[in-house]
Amino acid sequence: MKTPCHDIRQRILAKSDPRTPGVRSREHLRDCSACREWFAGVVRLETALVGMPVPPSRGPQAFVEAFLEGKAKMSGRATPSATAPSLSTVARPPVREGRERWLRVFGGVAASLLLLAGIVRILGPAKENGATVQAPPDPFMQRMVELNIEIASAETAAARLERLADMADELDQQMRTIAPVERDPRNLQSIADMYGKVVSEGVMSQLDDLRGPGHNAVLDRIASRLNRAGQGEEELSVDGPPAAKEPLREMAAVSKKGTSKLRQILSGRDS
Amino acid sequence: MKRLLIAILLFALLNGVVAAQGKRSATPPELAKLFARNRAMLDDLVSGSVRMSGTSDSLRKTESYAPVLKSLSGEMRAAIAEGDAIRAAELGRHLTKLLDQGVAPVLTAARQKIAIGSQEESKLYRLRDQSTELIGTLEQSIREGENQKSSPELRMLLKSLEASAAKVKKAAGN
Repeated sequence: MKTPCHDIRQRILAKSDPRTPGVRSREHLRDCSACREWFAGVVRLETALVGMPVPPSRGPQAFVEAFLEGKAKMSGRATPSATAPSLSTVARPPVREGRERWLRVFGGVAASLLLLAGIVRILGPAKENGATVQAPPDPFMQRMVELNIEIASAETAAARLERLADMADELDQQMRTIAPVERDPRNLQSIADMYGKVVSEGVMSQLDDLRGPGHNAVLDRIASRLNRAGQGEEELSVDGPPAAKEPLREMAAVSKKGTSKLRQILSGRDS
Repeated sequence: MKRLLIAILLFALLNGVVAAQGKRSATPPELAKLFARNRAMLDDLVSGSVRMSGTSDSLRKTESYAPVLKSLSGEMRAAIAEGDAIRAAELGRHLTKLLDQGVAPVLTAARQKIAIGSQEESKLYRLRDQSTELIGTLEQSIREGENQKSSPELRMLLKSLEASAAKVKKAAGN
């Protein structure tokens, strides 16, 4: 039984070099003029492509396209006269252009869908454990809760003082973060009030239990932190947004007073 | 074709990166909004921390928790009533953390120092009851919120609150 033309052509194209067909394929080509003509085209195409000054990546592409072209011919979309096309036609056949166009369209649609999915994911409500997340959690609140627990478990005045200084730092940082975007002065004033409470009532109230050379290191550390915060607050109160100026001035004054008190204790001038 | 493939890969990569981010951190405008929303609770939290830092007496430390627990549970109830399960769950995490790691250990310490039948003991029980009542009210709010019943966040919160209530009761004794 004669092997169908389609199978023979597939076998030829499946070879690494389609110009050297196997025994059965050669037998078929001997008997079938249509396939012989098709094979001549393949040979011309392969030979021409090898000799063509094209980038290396075009070789496999041309092979694939020749294969696609062959399939198109088999399905009757190409006329018999087109089975042995000229080299120029092989370089840009109409069938290939059509396929390329579809590939471009498909690629474009896929890229657009991915882009859309990305935009929806970035701008839309995120999902976490199957639930809609409306806004990220408040890290400031979380930190304040942690510090509250640390203060509750602190066993010494020095430990409590350090945690209060951490709380003051967090408030200072919060002010710097939201001051450029916050237009409501009440919120900024609220931070300044909390800062004042932590430094004036919290930090200062611990100092009575921390007099003596044994505590100088911790007092010195707190003084440096307060001094640094105060300088930053003072600078920002001059250059910062109008709504933040007054609260920042208050914070700077509190920091300055705290630093001064701590330095007095450290120098032994405080009674 | 190559450009299209690069574009597809790039967007796939971007999509993956964004998906992998999971919890994104808040931007300064978001932080400002969160601060404005949580301001009252934060004020209570800071005031409570300052009050607590001024004493080494466990019973007084426990007392300093009352205002912040009250304001936190009030905000949680409001969030549940508004159907904002995410906010209720976030505040619930803060509340259970404060109860488990703040209130319960302080109550345990106070219990060890307070004599049975003393005035301090009744104070201790009052504080215990205040905390558990707050939790009870919250649990009821969650159960009553019919539209929230299917929320996994609130179901988890309910379990955490029950566990916290048990811890507080155990810490105070009796």
